[in-house]
Amino acid sequence: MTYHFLPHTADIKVAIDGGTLDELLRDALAISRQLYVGTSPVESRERRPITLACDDVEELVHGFLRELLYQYATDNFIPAALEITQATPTTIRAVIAGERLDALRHATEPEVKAVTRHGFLVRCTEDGWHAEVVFDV
Amino acid sequence: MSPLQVRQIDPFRWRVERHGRMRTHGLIFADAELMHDLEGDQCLQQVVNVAHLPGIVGPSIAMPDIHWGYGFPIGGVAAFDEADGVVSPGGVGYDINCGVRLLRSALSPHDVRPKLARLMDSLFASIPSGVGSSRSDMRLSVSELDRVLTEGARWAVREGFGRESDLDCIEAHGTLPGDPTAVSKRAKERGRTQLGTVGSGNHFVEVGYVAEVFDETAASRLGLSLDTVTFFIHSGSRGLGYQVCDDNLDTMVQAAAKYGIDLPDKQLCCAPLQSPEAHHYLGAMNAAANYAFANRQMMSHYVRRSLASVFSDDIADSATLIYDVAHNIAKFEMHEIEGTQKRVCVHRKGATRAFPPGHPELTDRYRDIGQPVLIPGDMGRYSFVLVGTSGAFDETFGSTCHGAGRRMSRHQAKKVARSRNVPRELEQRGILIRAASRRTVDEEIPEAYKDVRQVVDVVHGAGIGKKVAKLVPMGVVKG
Repeated sequence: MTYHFLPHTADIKVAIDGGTLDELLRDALAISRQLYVGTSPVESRERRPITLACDDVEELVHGFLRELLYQYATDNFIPAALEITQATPTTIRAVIAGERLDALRHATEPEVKAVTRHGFLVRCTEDGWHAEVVFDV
Repeated sequence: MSPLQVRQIDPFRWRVERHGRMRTHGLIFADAELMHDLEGDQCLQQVVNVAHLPGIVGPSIAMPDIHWGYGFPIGGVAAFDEADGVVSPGGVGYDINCGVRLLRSALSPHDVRPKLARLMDSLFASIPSGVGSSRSDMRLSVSELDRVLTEGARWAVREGFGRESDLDCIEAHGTLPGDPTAVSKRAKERGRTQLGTVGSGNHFVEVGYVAEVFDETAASRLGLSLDTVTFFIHSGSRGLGYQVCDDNLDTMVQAAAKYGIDLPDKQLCCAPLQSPEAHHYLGAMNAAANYAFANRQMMSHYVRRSLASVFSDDIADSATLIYDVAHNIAKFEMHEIEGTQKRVCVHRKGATRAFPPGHPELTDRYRDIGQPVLIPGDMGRYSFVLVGTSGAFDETFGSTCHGAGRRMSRHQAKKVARSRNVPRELEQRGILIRAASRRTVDEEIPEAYKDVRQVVDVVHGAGIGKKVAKLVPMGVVKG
């Protein structure tokens, strides 16, 4: 897992690194899961397809994180894994595997309100991809 | 960037002179200690950034509980000319019409203490809390949700969740001109099952009592004598409001570019008040605000139901709404600008409206004392009730502070709380906690917050709010 928390008084700021864009997206999914249910084990009981097409990689990663939050907020769907068919800096075709929140097995974390745009960045680096995101909680 | 030059004007006021492309100066309410804590904090730069926005009238204002927010600081107040000003979702925040309401009862702590555990259990059972909390007894149809978004608290009262007289004691009588058609399908989907739920984070339902009275006349009018048991509700527009903000930030980034608005920070994205983008946002924001008013109205109903089940119907009937006030909102109001009455759009983000005695929007029963202002603290110490003043109306567009403000990050608070049993600690001090998640309680430990007394003393000292009473908690429902 290649993400870590950065200092922030009121909300949650995270840096995510991936050797490839696929890895970055998987780590983005992992941090989302952690913000929803901490370290509670989440099983791949349900598979939901996702397709996104955006103008640039920042919009793509931001859109991906927002989609995960929407699924959790409206349907209590917790992501466990990402099966990627295609990921480019402007498109994702993938399947999100996961399950619905089960209060007996999942310990919920304080509510994430939004994936903000404050200081949001996605960069291609020498080591792969780097993203920074602030979640409003 | 050079450090900001902040000049002290008096014990409670600080000024940032207009410089660069600022259109006005910054005015910060704080004492020396609070200001010292803000040194190096980006929130002061945010006060400056807001002063760059087109059509701003009066200063860019910060309350003593100011802290960093998206674009606008939390604790920020800014007013914009209706003709050439702007509206910005960043000036309202994600939780549209997050706010507080206070009810009083005919009970004393002596009456409640023997039944407190039962009362807290009942409140916890009847008001869902926690992440994504929803009501199994309330799944609104699309048309019913549209009625909530149009009518706000009035919808709730009509459906049997409260009394007609409650509406007199809600800011804007609990209804703003909302446009349900401006609210996205996604936002409505997020809101369909969450009405009547408290949510998570710093939201709560608190049982407390009046421990100190500062202004006998106002307290008596509010029915807040010593030892009166009260119910504080803090929540907002839940997922629906978050989504409305999120949707409109996208639109406003494009609008700012379209109208050539030069922004020092992209998060200040905004649109001219006369533009279609602004009308769309204001319609959606007001609809979300109505959802929040209805949400808090429903929770009051469940407080009364709990009182009926644990005490009696008479005690439930005695539970009277003192006031309900928003602290994340943008509203058109009439204010005097350089000697002329003008309609301006006042953004209050983490700031409370505090209208003075005599203001026509106040209900008759408060007309001579001013609008009740409700300032929650943390779950271990105290909260305050104030009233609005003419000083606030003259200087801050009728606004004052909204709470304590965090001093510890959530991560830090969890680390501090990790080896402790916070609910037990609080119970030993006579405060019962009922929470959906231990993690929330850990993040919300009292020491994670500034002392709200210090914040309230600043606004009282500066004359932009007048202290009436102090409430201390007996029990808290958290998310």
